[in-house]
Amino acid sequence: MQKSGGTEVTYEDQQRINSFNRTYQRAKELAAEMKVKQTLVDDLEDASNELMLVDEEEVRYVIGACFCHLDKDTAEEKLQAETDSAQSNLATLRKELGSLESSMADAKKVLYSKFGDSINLEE
Amino acid sequence: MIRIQPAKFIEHVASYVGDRSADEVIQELNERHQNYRLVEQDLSQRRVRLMGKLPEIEKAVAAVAMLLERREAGEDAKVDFQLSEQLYARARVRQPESVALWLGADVMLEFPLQEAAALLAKNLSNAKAQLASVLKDLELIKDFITTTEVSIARVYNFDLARRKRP
Repeated sequence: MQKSGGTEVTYEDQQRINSFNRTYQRAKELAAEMKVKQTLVDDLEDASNELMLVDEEEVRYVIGACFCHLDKDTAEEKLQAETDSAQSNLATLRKELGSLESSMADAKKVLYSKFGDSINLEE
Repeated sequence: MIRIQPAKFIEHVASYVGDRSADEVIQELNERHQNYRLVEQDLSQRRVRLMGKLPEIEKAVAAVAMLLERREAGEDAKVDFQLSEQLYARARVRQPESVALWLGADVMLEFPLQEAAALLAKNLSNAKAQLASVLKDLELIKDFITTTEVSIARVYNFDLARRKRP
């Protein structure tokens, strides 16, 4: 973050810059986390589609570090519960990212209007 | 909490620099910046370690919950468990009553299922609390780093302006 020229940095500006930076870092972490969670949701949905096609009464379901033999109905229930929780998890993250992005946009507006080209808030 | 000197915001660059040369002041700020970076790295590593630990505990929680479910249903648990990489064997756990938890330091202790579930739940919430506190410290140290970076830029600019003045 470069600052030049005659504009004085006030304590409030510093706080705003700090908070922008924190938000930016958190948004990056969130994006990475969401990618992992999205893969999980996709995998669970794939599993659920496959499960519908299975003829056998008993399927192997990963619990902890092993495959547990479950009857198809129980497996379906468990899979549904896991999918639901993964999806709501993802939705929470998405919401958080949205609010971070809007607060970053606000901070950018304020900081750019004061410091103009003297500050760089892009990647 | 981390025990380091917080980065103070410089209200007046001119009086902060005083009679010292800008190089001297920037040098001092750079050293502080480096120290903050070291602490940040340390915290980041702890964060990665804790984030790796969480899924491990969650797996154990799920496995114990499964055994409890089986016992409640009065059924045996039929599982394929890992013997080695790529090799699984089938096992039938008859009326599961207890599990052995790895406590570390080459010790395993056998617990009744309920107690194991409670202990794991406690470990999980402890790990989550630790992670939260590491994240908080990280935010703080990042603020220090940003403040110091801005301070360096301001001292530098102040010096430029001072030189330009005849």
